[in-house]
Amino acid sequence: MSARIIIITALLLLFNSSFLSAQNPLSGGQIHGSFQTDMQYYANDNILGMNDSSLAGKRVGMNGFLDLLYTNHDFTAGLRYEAYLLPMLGFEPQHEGQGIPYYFVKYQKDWIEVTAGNFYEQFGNGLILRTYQEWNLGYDNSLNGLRVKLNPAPGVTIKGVVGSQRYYWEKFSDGNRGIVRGADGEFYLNDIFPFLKEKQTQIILGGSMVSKYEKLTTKTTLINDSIFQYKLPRNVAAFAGRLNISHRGINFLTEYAYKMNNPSQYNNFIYRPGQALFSTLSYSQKGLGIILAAKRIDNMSFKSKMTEDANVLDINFIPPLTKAHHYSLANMYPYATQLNGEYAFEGDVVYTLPKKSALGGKYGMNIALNSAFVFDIDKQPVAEGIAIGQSGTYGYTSDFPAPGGTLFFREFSVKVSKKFTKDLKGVFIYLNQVYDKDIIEGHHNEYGKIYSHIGVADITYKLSSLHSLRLEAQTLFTRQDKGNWASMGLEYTIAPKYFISVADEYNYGNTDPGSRTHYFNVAAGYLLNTTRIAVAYGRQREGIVCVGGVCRQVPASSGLSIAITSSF
Amino acid sequence: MKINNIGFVMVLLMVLFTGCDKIEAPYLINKGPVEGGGGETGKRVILLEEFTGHACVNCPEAALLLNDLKTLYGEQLLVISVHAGFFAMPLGELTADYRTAAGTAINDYFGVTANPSGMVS
Repeated sequence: MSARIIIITALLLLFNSSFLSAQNPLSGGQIHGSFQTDMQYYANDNILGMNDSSLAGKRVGMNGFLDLLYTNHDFTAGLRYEAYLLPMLGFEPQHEGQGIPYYFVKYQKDWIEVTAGNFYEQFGNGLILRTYQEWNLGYDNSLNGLRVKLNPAPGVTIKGVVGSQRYYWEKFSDGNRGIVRGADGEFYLNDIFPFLKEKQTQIILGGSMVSKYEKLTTKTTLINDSIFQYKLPRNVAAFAGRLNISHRGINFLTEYAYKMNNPSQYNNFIYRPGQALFSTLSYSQKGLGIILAAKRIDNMSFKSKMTEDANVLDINFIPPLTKAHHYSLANMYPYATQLNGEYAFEGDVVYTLPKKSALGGKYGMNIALNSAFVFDIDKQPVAEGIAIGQSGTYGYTSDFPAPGGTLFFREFSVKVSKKFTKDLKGVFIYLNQVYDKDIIEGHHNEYGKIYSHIGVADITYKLSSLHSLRLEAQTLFTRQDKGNWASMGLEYTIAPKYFISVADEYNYGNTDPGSRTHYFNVAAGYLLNTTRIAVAYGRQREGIVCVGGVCRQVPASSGLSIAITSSF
Repeated sequence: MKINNIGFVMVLLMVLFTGCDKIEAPYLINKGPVEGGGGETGKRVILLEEFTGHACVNCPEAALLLNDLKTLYGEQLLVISVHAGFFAMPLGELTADYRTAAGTAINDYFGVTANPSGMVS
C-alpha cells in the first residue's frame, strides 16, 4: 500500500506544473488516459428466470476503469484504477471492489530499461510466459515486481523478470501464490553478423526460461484405506526456443516449449512434463495472403498456484488456431483452448480480386477462406491398471506425431466482401462448425457434438453522404443443443455523431416450444471526438465470450445498459 | 562493458536453471493406513459445510474430495451441502430447486459468493 501511495504522490507532483521549473528535466512531460465504464440495470424477466430471488438485490452491475500514462523523455509512469461495483453478470464475484491494481514506473537509459511495479510481458509466442490484460474477459495476470531489459549489442535483447501475479484484489503474501522468474534472449542475426546485413533473408533466434517457486503445500489421497502424500515440487521450470526466418513475402516461425513436472489441479496432479510446439508458415504478396499453422499442446497449463484451475494466475498463453468471429451467431460456439492436450491445424487464405476483373467488378472483391481442425492428442496408459491421467502417477504416455481420435472442433468458413455500387456494400459469410460441447465446456457426456451451419449477410447502404443504413441478417442451423436460431438487426447512422439500432435474436428451432425466446434489443449512441456514449435496452442471451481461446460464460439477462468510453 | 553484460546474463541463467525440482517416481509416499474414524468416544466431531449449486462446474470435484475426507475421518466428520446463491438457482435446463430458506440465510450471513466453498466449525 505504501508503495502505491508513493507512486501516486510522485505522479501528482509531476502533473503539478507549478512545482516544476522550466529548467527541470522532468518538464515537458505528456499525460494520456483512457476511460471506460459499463453499467447494467437488471430487470425481472420470467422467461429468463430472473426475479427478485435470483437477483438477490443485485440490480445494478458496473465495471469501469481509468488508465493513466505519463511519459517524459526516457521516463514513464502509469496506473489503472478499476471498479467493479458490483461486477456485471458473468464476471467472477471475486472482482467486487475498487482500487489501483496496476501501477508502474519505468525508465530507459543507454542500453538498459528498468520497470518497477506491474508489467505485461511476453516471451516469444507466450508458450511459457505471457502476462496480459483483457478487459472484456475480466482477465489480468500482470506481474508485479521488477523487469530489466538490456540491449548489450546491436540485435541482442535480453529480458529478465521477477514478480508475483495479480489475483483479483488479493495482495501477494507468503504462500497465497507463487513467485515467477524468467529470462529471455532474442538475437536478430542480421544485425549481429555483418555478412547477413544486406541479405534479404532475415533470421531471428530466441530462447527463454521461466521458473515458478511456490511454498510447499501438503496434499494427500486415500488408496485402499491408506494415506498417501504427494511429492510436490517447490520449483517448476519451463524452457522454450524459437526461430523466425523470413525471405521477401515468406515467413516461417516456430517455437518449442518444454515444462518440467508440474502436478496441479488443472492436470489432476500428474507428473508428466509438458510440451508445446507451435509453427506458422505464411506468404503474402499484393492481393494475396496465405497462412498455414500447426500446434501440438501436451499438458501445458502453467499457473503460479498449483491448486488453482480457473482462468487466473496463468503464467503462459497458448495462441489459438481458430478464427475469432465478429457476428453473434457465428460466436455461439467458440472454441476454448484445451491446455491438457490438443492438436490443431489452421489454413487461411485471403484474396482480393482486382478492380475491373470479371468477378471483381468495378470495385473489386475480397474473399477469405479459413479452415481449422482441433483433435485430441494420443494418450496411452502408463501401465496396466493405471487409468489415463490418474492423479499421483506419470499420467499417460503419448506418441508425439500421432493425433488422438477425438475431434474437439472443426470449422470451415468463406467470407466475401464486396462493394456493389458507390452506395452499396456487403459482407457475406458461410460457416460450418463441429463443436464438442462436453469437452470444450467441461460437461460429462451430456451434450455431445454440435454440428452447425451459419450464414451472415451484412449490407450497408449509404442514403447520403452522412446518412447510412446497415442491415445484418444471421441464421444458425443445428439439430443439436438449442436448435435453430435467426437474427436480424437494423442500424441507422448519422455520421459522425449518432447511431440508433434495433435487433432481435430468435431461438425459433428450440425443441421445447416454451424456450423459443426472442432476444430483442434497442440501442442508441452518441459520439464526439474520442468519447462515445451508448444506451441499450433489451435481452441478452446466455453465451460464451472468448478472447484468444480464453473464455468466460455470460448468463442471460434483461435490462438497461449504459456504456461510456473516452480517451485523451 | 560487454564482458560484464555476458557475465550478468550467465549468472541469471544459472539462477534460473537451479529453479527446478525434478521429482522421481514413485510420486506418492505411503503414510500408512487410516487410523481412527471408528466413532471412538471423546473425539471431536468436525462440521464441514459445503456451499454448492447445480450450475457450478467445479463442484463435483469438491464433492469427490469431501467423499475422500469422509472415508478418512468417518464419524468424526459431518458433511452438509448447502445449495444456495447464484449457482443453485434454477436456470434453463436445470429446473430443480434444492435451495432452502435456512441454507440461503447461512450463505448470505457468511457472504459466500464463490462455489465450491467449504466452512469448518
